[in-house]
Amino acid sequence: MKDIFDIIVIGSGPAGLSASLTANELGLKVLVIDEQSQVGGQIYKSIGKNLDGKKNFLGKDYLKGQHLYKRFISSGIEHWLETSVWQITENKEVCFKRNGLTGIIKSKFIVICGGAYERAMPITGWTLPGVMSVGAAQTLLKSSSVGADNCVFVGCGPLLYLTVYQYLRAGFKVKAVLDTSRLKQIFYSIPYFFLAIINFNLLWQGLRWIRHISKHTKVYRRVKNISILGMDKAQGLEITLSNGDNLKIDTQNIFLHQGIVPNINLTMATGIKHHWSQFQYCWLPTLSFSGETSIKGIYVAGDNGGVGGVNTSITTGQIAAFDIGKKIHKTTNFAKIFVWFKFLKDKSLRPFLDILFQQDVNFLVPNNKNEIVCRCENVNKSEIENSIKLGISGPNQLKSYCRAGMGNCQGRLCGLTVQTMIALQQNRKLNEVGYYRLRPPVKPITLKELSSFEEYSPDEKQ
Amino acid sequence: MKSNKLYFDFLIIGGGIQGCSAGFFLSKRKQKVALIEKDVIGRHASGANAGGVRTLGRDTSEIPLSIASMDWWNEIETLLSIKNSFFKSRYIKVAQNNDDVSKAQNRILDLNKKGFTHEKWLDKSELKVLLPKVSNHCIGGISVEGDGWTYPWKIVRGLASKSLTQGLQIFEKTFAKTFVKEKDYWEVTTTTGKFYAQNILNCSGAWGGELAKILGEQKLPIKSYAPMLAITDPQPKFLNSVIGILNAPLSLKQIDTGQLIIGGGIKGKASIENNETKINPYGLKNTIQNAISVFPHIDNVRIIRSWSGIEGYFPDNLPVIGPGSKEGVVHAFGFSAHGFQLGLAVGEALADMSMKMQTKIKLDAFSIRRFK
Repeated sequence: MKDIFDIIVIGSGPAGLSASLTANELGLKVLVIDEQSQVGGQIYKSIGKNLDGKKNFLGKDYLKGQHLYKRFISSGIEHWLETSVWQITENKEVCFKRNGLTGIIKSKFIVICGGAYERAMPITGWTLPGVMSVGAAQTLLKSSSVGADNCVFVGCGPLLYLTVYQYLRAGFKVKAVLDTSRLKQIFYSIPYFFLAIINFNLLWQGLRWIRHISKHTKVYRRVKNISILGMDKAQGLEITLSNGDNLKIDTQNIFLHQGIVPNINLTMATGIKHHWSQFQYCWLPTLSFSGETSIKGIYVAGDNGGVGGVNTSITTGQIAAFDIGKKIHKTTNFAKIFVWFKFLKDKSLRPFLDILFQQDVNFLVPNNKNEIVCRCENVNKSEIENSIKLGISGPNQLKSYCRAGMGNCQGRLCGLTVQTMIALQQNRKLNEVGYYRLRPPVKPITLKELSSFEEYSPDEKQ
Repeated sequence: MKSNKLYFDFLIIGGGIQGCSAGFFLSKRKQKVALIEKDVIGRHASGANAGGVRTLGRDTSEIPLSIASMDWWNEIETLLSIKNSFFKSRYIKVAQNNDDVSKAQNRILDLNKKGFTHEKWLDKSELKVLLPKVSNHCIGGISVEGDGWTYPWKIVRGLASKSLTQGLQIFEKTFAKTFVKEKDYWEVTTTTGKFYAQNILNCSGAWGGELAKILGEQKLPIKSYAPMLAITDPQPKFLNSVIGILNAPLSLKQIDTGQLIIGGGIKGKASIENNETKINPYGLKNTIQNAISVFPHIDNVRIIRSWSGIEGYFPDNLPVIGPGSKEGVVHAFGFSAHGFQLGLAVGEALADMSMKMQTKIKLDAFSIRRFK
């Protein structure tokens, strides 16, 4: 198979855009693949549609993406939208699905910028209609300015505060914010604060969001127990406050959030080495300083390599592209030194945020025995507990005992919960328990699509 | 050793279907027997296979063993007290052209001559009745009533847990490193300690060739691959039989959840050194094309996952079953991706052989000495 492109970049969020732009400037032939219908990824969702400035409520950071977007479009870099990657073989062949057909294209260098997704928050009633993730609520706001009045936001993490802030600025009424972050985390995070202070502007921005939120809506801090009420749809919330009081809040729209984790389904299915991060409470691909994985030539950039936010996504994308440029041209580009400085500066904020909003295991495992954990296969907490009791060796064996993790989402929703439950119940370390063995296709493909599978050649229109 | 509890009359190496089945029969006969497994019970080809339970389409030398095994399969749920683990229906291999038809009919005549009457010819109308959704170009097929499919891991684990109640001792995460023959017993050094046993049963699948060498056999032409499978979203029920096609690879079934499982022995890459398998998209493509060709209406069904386990293959696609060249060694491995159904009869035969009894069925065709 001949290499048509020097680099294939998977994902067109901030990391993908900056990696491809940098590589393009270095004179490399780049292909960008994204499964959405527009470039931008999650952070810059619908950025191409929102150039008119009507959505200023989305904030400065979002609008910064316009610059990147315009540069990308005018660069003429080849990009395939509505194209999903469902496998990368050990020979660095990218298997993709596009326009109802499947194909395979090889490249010496691949940069995976698959971003991150939200951790599940399987509290009682989390599967009821009317409940969705904060990220989904934000997506609706970005793509079609849709929101819901009298909603309640539940959880913790920067994305939660940002979304509430955007929601309020867009003119929607937020009934309450139930903040689950813990007091003790503030103490633990103090040492990291001194590192984070280099980014005082971002810290200040965060404080501003929080002040704005406190002014315009009721915020309950350090909320302990939360259950969603309702039979066939969400009708309200029952919560226990930090002082032990119980409270009921009526609402039909509830948005949950417990931080975001790298989207490791493609990297794991590719056979890249991963390790457990107790800091970020998730699995991370093991990367070199330049973002290269355990498979030579495959890089990971952006939140996919460890959640760092939009600025680090941009710099890690650039760093990966510089490293690939160095390997192809055999010369070093000194512009990368500045990128490295910027990277270190942006990165210094992360440990503080990671510790301040560290995952509270209480919200990762349901309280209620009958609560669903695996939504695809409808497996509840007690079924999983009973299987663990039989002495299973890890999440993979659990699959065949109770079907948890065997459905459509390939464990994106239940993976961390199942891993945590096994670790708690068997009193084992999280990294030793391990994760689901992930297998292609990472994205579902139809039989018809797979039957058309062939090598990509630029002459035929695929 | 600290205690005498690690002295056994029989030590089974490998916790797949063959090893667990041997453990089941030996413990049923109240023998002092242990099973060691380098990973966990049913980790590879015995846990991750298509779960076809078929007597159909087998090599003539395997048929008696396969039919004997079927008797055990018919009782398996009561034998192991597990429900919903063997789904009895029929297996059909579909004919798509005249060449398929003549080959198939010759095969049936040939089998009849040898006294086997289980495989029956289906003409086009009979096929249509059994498979209303089958493509019109399919003109017949061979079928066996009473074949079916299983959840392989349920059977392997069912055998293991039943055997535990019968006194079998199972040691998982225990990898056998060296075997030393002392007078009348073997000293086996493993990653978790030493074992002593008079008889060794090599049931270690893809790893069986290496173990056989350690146990004093010649180098065997065994290769390891990872037979690949894919599973789809649930579909409305349309398929009761298990489907194959004549002269091309495919196995297709609809399980009780409504999902389709597509396999058929297409081989992916396997590495027995680091326990890894790789999915080969070109191979999957081929099988999928065969599936759509027989049932065109499933072309928009989505594959949600694929998987594979490591299996050992011999060039003649027949397993090794029989005594080894050293005293007290019995082999059963390299079933070349069609040993799951045989497992129950093989376990019984292994118990017979290692207890120095005559096996019910002649196993000469599977001798390890055929490669000399």
